[in-house]
Amino acid sequence: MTQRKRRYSCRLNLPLLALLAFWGSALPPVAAGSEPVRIMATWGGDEEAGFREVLDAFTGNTGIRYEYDGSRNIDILLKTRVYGGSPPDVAILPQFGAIVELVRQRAILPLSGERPDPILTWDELARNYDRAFIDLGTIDGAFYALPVKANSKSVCWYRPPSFRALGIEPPRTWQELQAIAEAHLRRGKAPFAIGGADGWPLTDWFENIYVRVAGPAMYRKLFLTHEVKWTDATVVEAMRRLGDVVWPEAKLAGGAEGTLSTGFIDAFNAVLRPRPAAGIYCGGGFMSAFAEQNFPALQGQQDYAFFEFPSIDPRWGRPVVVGGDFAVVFNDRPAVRRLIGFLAGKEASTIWASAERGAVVSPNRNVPLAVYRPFKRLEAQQLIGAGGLVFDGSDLAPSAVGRDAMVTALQAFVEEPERVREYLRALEGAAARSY
Amino acid sequence: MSLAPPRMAPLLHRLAGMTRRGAVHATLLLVGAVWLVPTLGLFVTSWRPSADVAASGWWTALPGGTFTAGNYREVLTVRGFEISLLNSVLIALPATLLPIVFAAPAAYALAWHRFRGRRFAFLAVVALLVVPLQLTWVPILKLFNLLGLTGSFVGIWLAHTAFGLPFAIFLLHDFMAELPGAVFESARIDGASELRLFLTIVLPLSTPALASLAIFQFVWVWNDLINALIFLQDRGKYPLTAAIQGLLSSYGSEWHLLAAGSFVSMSVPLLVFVALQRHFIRGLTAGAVKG
Amino acid sequence: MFLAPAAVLLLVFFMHPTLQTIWWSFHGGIGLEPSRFVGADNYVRLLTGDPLFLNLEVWPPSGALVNNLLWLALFTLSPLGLGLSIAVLADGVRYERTLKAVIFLPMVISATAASVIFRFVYSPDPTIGILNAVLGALFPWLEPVPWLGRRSVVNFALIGAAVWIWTGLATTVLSAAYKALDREVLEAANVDGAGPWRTFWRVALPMLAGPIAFVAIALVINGLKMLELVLVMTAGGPRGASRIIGFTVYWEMFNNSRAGYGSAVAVVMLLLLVPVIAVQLRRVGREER
Repeated sequence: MTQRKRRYSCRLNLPLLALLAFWGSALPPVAAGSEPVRIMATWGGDEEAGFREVLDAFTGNTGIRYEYDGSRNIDILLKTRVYGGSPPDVAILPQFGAIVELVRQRAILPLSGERPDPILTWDELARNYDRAFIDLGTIDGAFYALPVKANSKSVCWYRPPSFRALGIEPPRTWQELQAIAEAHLRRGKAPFAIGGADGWPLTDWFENIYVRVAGPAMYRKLFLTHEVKWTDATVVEAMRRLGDVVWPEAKLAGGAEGTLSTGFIDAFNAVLRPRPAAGIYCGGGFMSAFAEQNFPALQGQQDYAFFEFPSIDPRWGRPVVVGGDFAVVFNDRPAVRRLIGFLAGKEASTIWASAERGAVVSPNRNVPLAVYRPFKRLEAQQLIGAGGLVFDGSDLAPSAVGRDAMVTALQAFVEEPERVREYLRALEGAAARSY
Repeated sequence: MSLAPPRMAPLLHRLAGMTRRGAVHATLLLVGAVWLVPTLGLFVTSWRPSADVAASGWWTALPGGTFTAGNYREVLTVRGFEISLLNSVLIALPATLLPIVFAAPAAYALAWHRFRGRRFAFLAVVALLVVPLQLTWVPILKLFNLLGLTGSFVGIWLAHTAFGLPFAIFLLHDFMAELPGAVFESARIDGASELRLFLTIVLPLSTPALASLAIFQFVWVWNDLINALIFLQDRGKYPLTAAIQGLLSSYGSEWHLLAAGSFVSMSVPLLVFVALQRHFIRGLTAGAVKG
Repeated sequence: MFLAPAAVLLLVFFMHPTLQTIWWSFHGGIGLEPSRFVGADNYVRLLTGDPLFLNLEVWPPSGALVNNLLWLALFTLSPLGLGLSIAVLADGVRYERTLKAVIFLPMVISATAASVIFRFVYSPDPTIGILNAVLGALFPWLEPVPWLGRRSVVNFALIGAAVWIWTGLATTVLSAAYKALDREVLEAANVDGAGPWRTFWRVALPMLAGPIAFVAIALVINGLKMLELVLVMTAGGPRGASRIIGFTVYWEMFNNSRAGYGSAVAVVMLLLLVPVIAVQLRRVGREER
């Protein structure tokens, strides 16, 4: 290439860059006038479509515009933006531990409590939500976290035809579950599929067992306040019960190491697919959506169904472990107040529960059960009728515990159950410096 | 191709003559096949219905499986697809050119100008290569908020430029240091100014390095998601990667859409590579002939 | 004048975060901005009280630091070896361009997509994991290998995926450099009867030292910073067995909200760069003589 040509192209770039720079800076960050409410959440795809139905209804009612920003990376984004000084107006988070952290940083505002002009009154809350949700969202005497979506983590999926072939019925007690596991083993089949590569299927198992062994009060003290240590006898007892599930490893599809390298969807698929690798997948009412998407040929209820996580100690019965998403507020503006008021009410919850795509189970108890689709209705019934609700413990705990130390301990337990006390000591060590 | 016949590698031909030429070809083809398989898997997956993806391996679909364009349709009609594609171009072009514009003179100075602290400056640049970007997000976001750059394309250009600079300087320095110094000396003796020398001799000679750098930086910026989300904070300005991510639920489980989205997204950098590959091979031959 | 624009940008964007990281590494507390001064506590814990970072009580030693050394060795040498072989062997063959494009292809795939591909490749279930399917077809007596679930294997599996991505860099750079070599020197060596192997080792390789060092350093740095691949494929598991330093910096800051501790890990990462800087120092020094 000749030198002249080269020089020419160099010069050409400069005005082009200047033009681009001008264009870039000339675009205003937001249109002036009525400022939209900025909302961050984790949802995309169908989930987002369902939420947008709610938001569009809000805009229709009030004329207030919204900007929805959904990302699976909300952990990083929200933390960075809060510390960097540009949080959104509203964020909807699945992890309660992160909300506690935001309260401690004084980053989010109370919705209700000792203030003259609460965004939501206690009466409003009591009309719409179960006591358990209100208690959970109340931190240091003020209400911060509005539940907008709930799901049961105390369900176990199975294929009724496979159970019939084995001559077994859905279990109601731990003994019955053991009997079912034995029935599988006798036929050379693995009873359980657990997506142990993702941490939370393992923590869900543990939480369900722990609340059935030690009761809701101890559960809260273990996960939320850490008044109970991880080396406590109740924890050891719960781990022993978990051992009934993962030991010997023939009970697990793929064995121990296979479990640790299988994600939750693959584990679930392994139960539902034509030649199943396991009989039971526990955790997540929301899995019905994956069943519909991945196995359109199967009939819900008939070809696949769920039973409630069986009871262990009759004293505690079958409490439901609930996962949820909570709205928190960073900026107090009239538009934001109206959005929160709308989200807390029956109208928004009903729209969301009956959305075409991405319908959710609403924590709002005024949503009529009739609007749900079949599996969601069962899940909603379970949430309403439960003897007690507790929240997903790994989400209640700081993520250094719930998403790190606890996962490591449980994965280790799946592989080498005999060294359980060692794992619990390490877990307690991590917990001790995380609250 | 002008370069083929006279540049046939003597090494290969001797080697092939001595050992089995077939073995070399077999090895190369095997490596190529192994490298292609994962991508092929992604490609096949992108044409399969989600139910099939969950039920069976992609290779089982090759003879007579069901294929659908539905995944691509969903990707191409995602909310704001065209805007995000335009945004990606608007972000990536300046964010590819600017680091080169900044890095080329700096690399030249570090390679050829004698001044105090030159070594230290260059080593500092190498050290900066390893600074994890996560550490810079909060301080930079604070700065951008102060300057009103948050949510502007200028902000994301600057961020990508700064993040790309250490590698750009490192790469260009390595290349420029190998350039024949005698040429510069004679140009200086002819009375060329430093700027003129840089623009008319150094830059043209560095074409292959500039082209490689452009490829790497472009690919990096084009595939970036997290920096765009952090510094733009506005769905109307998000790039393609963000739009594609928007298709995924919070469980990130829609692999069929992810696969289709990846192919849509990577088609652009692939074209850039193919276009520039031609270009920098020509650049290299020009250099070799002169050398 | 040539340096100023780049220098200003680098100072603004990196100076403050880098110094801040060093300062923070002596602090503790929860959140993205640590609050309490704790002296060298973070470092002491990191090196003696965090088995997932460094565990010398087992043999072989384990932890993120040890894993990263494995990464540095394999992730640097494999793409270099492969890239060099391809650059030399494919030089001049008819399908050279196609082959090089195929090898480069993974570099344009986003890390997330690549991670998802390899989760499929490595699946322990032979109905969806192609590696186990192929192994099962070739050696029917073999049990499927849980590549990402076995602690002794998981790091190699992750490195394999990373090599797949990064060999494109090595091939592209080394092939271009090889083509630019002075043919006359190579011919002369050949004429002297050196033979192709000797010519390659004694003549071509030393002439390629510069590009090889460049690729090696680029790989070392990426091996140190590696994050997304690990995050998406294993999240550091099973049992923390696949953690590496880049992942740990991110994880401690953003998952565990321990910015001080994460900063200490980042400082260790910078220190690991010292050998690279030493090599670079020698290279710069050589040029000046």
